[in-house]
Amino acid sequence: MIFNRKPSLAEVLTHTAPEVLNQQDGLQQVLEHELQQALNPWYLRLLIGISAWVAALLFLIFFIVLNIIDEGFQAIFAGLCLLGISLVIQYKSEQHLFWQQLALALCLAGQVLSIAGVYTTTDSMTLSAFATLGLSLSLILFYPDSLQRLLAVQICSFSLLALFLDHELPNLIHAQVALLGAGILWCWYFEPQHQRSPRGVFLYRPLGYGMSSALLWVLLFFMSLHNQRLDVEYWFISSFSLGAMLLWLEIKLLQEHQIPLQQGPGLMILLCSVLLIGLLHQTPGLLAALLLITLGFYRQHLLLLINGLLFFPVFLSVWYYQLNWTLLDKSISLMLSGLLLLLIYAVQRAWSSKQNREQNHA
Amino acid sequence: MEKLKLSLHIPAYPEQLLRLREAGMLSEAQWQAALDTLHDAPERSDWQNFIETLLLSLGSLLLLAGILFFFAYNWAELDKFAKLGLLQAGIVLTCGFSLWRGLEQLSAQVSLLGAAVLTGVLLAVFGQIYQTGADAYSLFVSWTLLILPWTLLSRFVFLWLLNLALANLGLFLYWEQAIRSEESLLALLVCVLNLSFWLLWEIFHPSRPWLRQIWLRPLLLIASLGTLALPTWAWVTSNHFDDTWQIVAVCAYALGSAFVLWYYQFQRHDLAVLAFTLAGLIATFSLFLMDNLISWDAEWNWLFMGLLVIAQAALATRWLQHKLSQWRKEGRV
Repeated sequence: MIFNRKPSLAEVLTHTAPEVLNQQDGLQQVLEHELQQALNPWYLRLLIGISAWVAALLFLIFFIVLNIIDEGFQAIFAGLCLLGISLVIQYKSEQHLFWQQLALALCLAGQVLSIAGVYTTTDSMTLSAFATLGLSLSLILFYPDSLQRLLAVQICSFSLLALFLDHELPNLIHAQVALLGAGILWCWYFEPQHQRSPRGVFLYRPLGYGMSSALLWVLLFFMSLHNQRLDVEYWFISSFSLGAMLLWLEIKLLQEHQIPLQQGPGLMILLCSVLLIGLLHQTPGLLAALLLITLGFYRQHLLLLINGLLFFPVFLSVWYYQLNWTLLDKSISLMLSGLLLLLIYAVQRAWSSKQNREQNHA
Repeated sequence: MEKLKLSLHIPAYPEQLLRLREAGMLSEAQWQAALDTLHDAPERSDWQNFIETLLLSLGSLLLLAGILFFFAYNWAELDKFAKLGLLQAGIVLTCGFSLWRGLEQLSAQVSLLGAAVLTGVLLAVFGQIYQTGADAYSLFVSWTLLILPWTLLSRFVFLWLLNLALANLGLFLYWEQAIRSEESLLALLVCVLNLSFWLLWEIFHPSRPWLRQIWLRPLLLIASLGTLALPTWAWVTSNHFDDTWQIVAVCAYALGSAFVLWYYQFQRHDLAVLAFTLAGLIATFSLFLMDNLISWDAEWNWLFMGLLVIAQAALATRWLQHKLSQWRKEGRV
């Protein structure tokens, strides 16, 4: 697998607008935030982040022991106040990493207080889930922090889960899986378009990564659940929807490289993908991981690729314990899938060798 | 000019380009061209390599998983000699593959790691079949010793880490199950074990390319100093020493942290090690304040502690950023 090194800002400007490099003061002023962030390695950001979160927890305990929060409405009010404070800090202190992290921690504390307040007041999981959804969607739109947006997508996904479980409708997860899969494709396949949108450029990455993680965790959660009332049936619905998205992506990629779909390698790839989807129809997690691996390589995003690669064995392990099929049925499905992939590999290698020989003769 | 040129060698993101366009520093055409340079889509040959690698690795993984699932299905009906025989065959095959490929190849090293893991599985199944009644520590100690020759031959850092992890686990279980004595002494012994590995790494890594993963240094130091932090925190929260070894552990933690801060500031230059050491000291100091100077009956003390955590983190971050800037100017990083 080949991953191209991401170009640096200096390289991009040298190739496209070299005269901009002479405007030192302007560049320094416009990009001050990014240049300062570059001074902070990941472990420094981790240290700052953890300390901000610990501080926010201590502040939260302070509010609780002061007995300011006795009833649900007080918790909602305090939570919304914390959210307001965090928004102000976020907008005012854009260039200070520590205040950004503190604002984020206060934002999360505010969300926890607000939702806990709603639940205490209404005693309804459904209303609390809807309140969580509304709050998270608002924060995605208005809170200018990538990590908060990424977390908000996870929170939205899990509040939908809570809704499904509360109403004992676990099979609605198939709709959620289809939505998340479509969202992931929309974010990553149309990345060039999003990068040209003044709003989209700040949204598509946290949403894309958020939905990618959410898809994997949601599938993992339900595949690990062993509860007769909440057992998900008809896993093939999720598998076929993810499989359809994978096929769509493959068709688009083949068309991009002008490989005909009705013959040769194009037809082989599509037919074998259909077979693979059929063989793995009981384990949508593997197809979700395949979708992420393909998208990760296509858009050269290592994190997305690694996410998919890491979850592949995880889903295999979880599927081991699922009771919908016997171990014998699972083993046959896996062995046939493995042999199919190895067969395609062998055919692909043979074709490549033949093409190389023909080129050498020519 | 020199400082700015260094600063621009950061990864390019579309948000930065949008800011430059909005500030009027890039024209529409330049902005579009700059965005196009961010996209280096894989060529057809790249896709070919990727698909072949994916087909081979996932195909092998699915086939192997299918075989494992098949044996799991039939495991209860298998004869004890068949169970042991299968695992031994797995070890022989993985070792044979490593030998055939040659240990300088990554696939051979991974295969040897697989053999090391299967050795542990074999010992566990042996114990399960024969029910010897031995303590768990004997499994881990035996496992550590049995795979030691492979570890020494492999020149594979992950096999070394597996061996170290097993040694730590074996020592811990031995202490808990056989010795059952002062835990501070256990912390000191674990610290000495991990420090030995750290020392060996510092001595040998410049001349051994396979050892040059720089993340090993903070990992080994955390494993060493981290174990001493535990008896230190126990002392801080209880306000008395349980035994003499705890005094030694606390002193060792203080001296060790001071040494690390000096050594990796002036002799070698490793900001990650400094950051993690400071994090441990901040946690220790905060715990000390919480338990000794502050009464938790007073609500405002929670607010005070929150502000104190902020202050310590801000000071530590400022100092670390200053060090990093200084080292960059001096060309040390």
